[in-house]
Amino acid sequence: MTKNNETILEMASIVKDFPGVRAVDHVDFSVKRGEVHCLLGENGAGKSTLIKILTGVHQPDEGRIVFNGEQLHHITPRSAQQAGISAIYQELQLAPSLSIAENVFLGREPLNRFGNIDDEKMRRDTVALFRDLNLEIDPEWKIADVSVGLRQMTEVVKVLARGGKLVIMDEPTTSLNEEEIASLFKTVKQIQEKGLSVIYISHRMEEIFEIGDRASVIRDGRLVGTEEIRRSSTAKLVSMMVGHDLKEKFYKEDVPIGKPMWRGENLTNETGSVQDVDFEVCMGEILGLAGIRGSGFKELARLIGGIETLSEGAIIDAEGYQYRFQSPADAINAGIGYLPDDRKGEGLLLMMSLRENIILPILQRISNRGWVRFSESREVADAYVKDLNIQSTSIDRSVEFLSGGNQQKVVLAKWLASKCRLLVLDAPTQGIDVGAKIEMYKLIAEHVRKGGAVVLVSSELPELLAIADRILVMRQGRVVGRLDTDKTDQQEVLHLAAAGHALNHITE
Amino acid sequence: MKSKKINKFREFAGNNGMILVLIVLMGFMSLLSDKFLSTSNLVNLAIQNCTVAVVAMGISFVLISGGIDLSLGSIVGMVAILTCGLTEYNGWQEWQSILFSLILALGVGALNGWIITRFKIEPVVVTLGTWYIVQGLVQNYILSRVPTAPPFTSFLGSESVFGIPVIVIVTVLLILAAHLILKRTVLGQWAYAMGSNPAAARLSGVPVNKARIIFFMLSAFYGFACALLMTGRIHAVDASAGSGLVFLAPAAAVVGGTSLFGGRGRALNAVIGALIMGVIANGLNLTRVSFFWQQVAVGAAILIAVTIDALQRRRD
Repeated sequence: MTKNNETILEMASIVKDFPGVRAVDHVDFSVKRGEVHCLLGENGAGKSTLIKILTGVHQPDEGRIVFNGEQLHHITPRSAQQAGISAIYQELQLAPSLSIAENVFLGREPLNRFGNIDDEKMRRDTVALFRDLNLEIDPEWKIADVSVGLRQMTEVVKVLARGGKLVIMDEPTTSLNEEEIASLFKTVKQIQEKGLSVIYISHRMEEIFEIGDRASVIRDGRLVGTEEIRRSSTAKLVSMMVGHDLKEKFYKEDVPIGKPMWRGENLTNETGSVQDVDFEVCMGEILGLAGIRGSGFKELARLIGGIETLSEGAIIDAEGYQYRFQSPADAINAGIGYLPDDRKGEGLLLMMSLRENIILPILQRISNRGWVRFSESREVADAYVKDLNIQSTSIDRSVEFLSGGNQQKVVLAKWLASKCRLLVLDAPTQGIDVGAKIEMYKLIAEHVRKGGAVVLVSSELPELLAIADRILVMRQGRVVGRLDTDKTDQQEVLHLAAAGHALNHITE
Repeated sequence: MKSKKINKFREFAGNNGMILVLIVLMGFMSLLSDKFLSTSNLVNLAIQNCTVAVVAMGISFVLISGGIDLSLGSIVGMVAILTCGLTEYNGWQEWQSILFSLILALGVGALNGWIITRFKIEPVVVTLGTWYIVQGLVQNYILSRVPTAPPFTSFLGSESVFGIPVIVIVTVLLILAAHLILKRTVLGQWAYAMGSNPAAARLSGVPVNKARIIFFMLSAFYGFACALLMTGRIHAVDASAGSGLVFLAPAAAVVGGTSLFGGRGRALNAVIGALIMGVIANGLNLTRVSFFWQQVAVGAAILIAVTIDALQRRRD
């Protein structure tokens, strides 16, 4: 590995405020030439805000950025790219219907002496750039027809062709198989030898130890520390990420766990993002689902809620009836409601009123031969608005004018009104303020106290540990741990989720 | 506080903006021509625009639920031509021709909905295809013949009961029915929910595929009704029947304030839209302004309506 102590990027004392929250708080971060610098932190810790400041998506409120010896002011996405800073996101920014060569030179196609695009040169240069990375490709292949791994290589080559100096990779291995990951790592090492620097964001510890030189850990917007990876350990990095000051406020009631309500056997979906999962949830229980992005925990929740369909296995109720839901309507009829993590995209009818949102799943119940009993619909909506303390001047007001917390309560009200006994809640407290969170926890507690059950999906471990009774930890589509929240801690869950085995198995 | 006011204004303008446009337009026309507000002219205006109101109502079901139906004009043409043609040339009873046309119309609607939901294709493309197919088949049948309207159809389009034109009565009943369907039934709630956010509607248990097929069938049913009224009013049809409605139907619905992007619209909007279109044509006819300028005015009305819709949609 190139050992060069020249600093290429220096971010000093960066501050970024969003309404009500300091996302980045006086962070110092530097990258050396030819270095792979890993950036670690839990979801919402401030990693992506820091990266977005560097790539010109956000402007910092305070701080100084020096890149390649020059101070950068007012970075825009374009000026960042011109300076040599490129980001490769999870959703690749390639044109699927164009060839590899056309993508590599997109927007800066070489011209021949007639002023036409010089296809020949484009193809030649593309092949040469790939050959530099020991890859043989046909530049004519369409992006749509090649593997995700090769698409990622194309992104890397695109950066090389532009003369990039710093590449940011945001969880690049999420959708790659083992072979593709190995190939990507080889490429990373090669571009590193060419003197390029890499900022590498990942939750997977083993990857960080395989390719990283240094790691910086961010927590609650602050830099916890920067470590030489050779002199560090998984345990140390995890404890830096987690911290020990968990003073967040939660609410949980002691509800006796009753009889089994639903279980799943061999749950598998077509894409394989969920494979062979068994689960059981009982009356009065809150079952947590944990995992890192791409581990399949969110997909599992969508399978239980009937949003996606099973290709194998079945969901089985207390009487032993087996279900394979073909649509959310099937799941609702069986008594399972699903609250999506994307409130505006999948949860709400934004232009419609509180009443119309709340009664949507129960229209059949409050109607006679297709005619909605209007006054009953008002009574139901009124009752839940009052019950959940939703702040709105009227139930006829459109929900787009409500605050995030109140909007989320409308979505929950919909499912409470549906009387579904099992609620699958995907990130129910995401993006709402602390007060609304507490109210949400209380409503969840009330639901299980009344004999319901909850499957709680969350990327926030402290929340899962505080609210859930048991946690299923998923990794690469499979359950890698079933934990009692009384007998586990954040480190253990994080270890399982990131490494696939328990903490004490780690050899340092 | 200020933003609250703007929101209120947007809500009001979104619901009633095009009524104001209609009133202003009528005032303007009455200044241009003193005949405009005469009773006979107003009755004429009502009769002339019933068919547009009905067909705009039909397409409103599809628009509100987040689709578009370009085939509706060809369904109108098909029903008009078969009702008259089968009775006059093929020796069918009138009721047989009407029933057969109805079944075909509902069939085309169901086919539209089925292809769209089964193969997940954009409604605009599917209905473009069925538009051409239906039109081609029907023209093959009618060729250059011009059949006249049979008795019951003529009664619907041209007679009066207690001094009120039957066409107006039927139209009012159809609009009223549509209003009740949209505002008071499960199906109506599904339409708004699907148009507003199809993903959220599905997740809340709305059977979106089944519902979409029903909305295309409802659209086709209103097209069927429009065809009978139209045929009865003009007494005879030729191969071009309904062709003017392909874009007039969505245009009238949109001019009345129904969103082209789903989730927003009322039954009343179809009437308002049809009247705005009608007043423009009628008023400019009275003042002998050429047809070409009428088109300019209609275009302006469309732009005003979609601008109001866009302003209402824009969120921070």
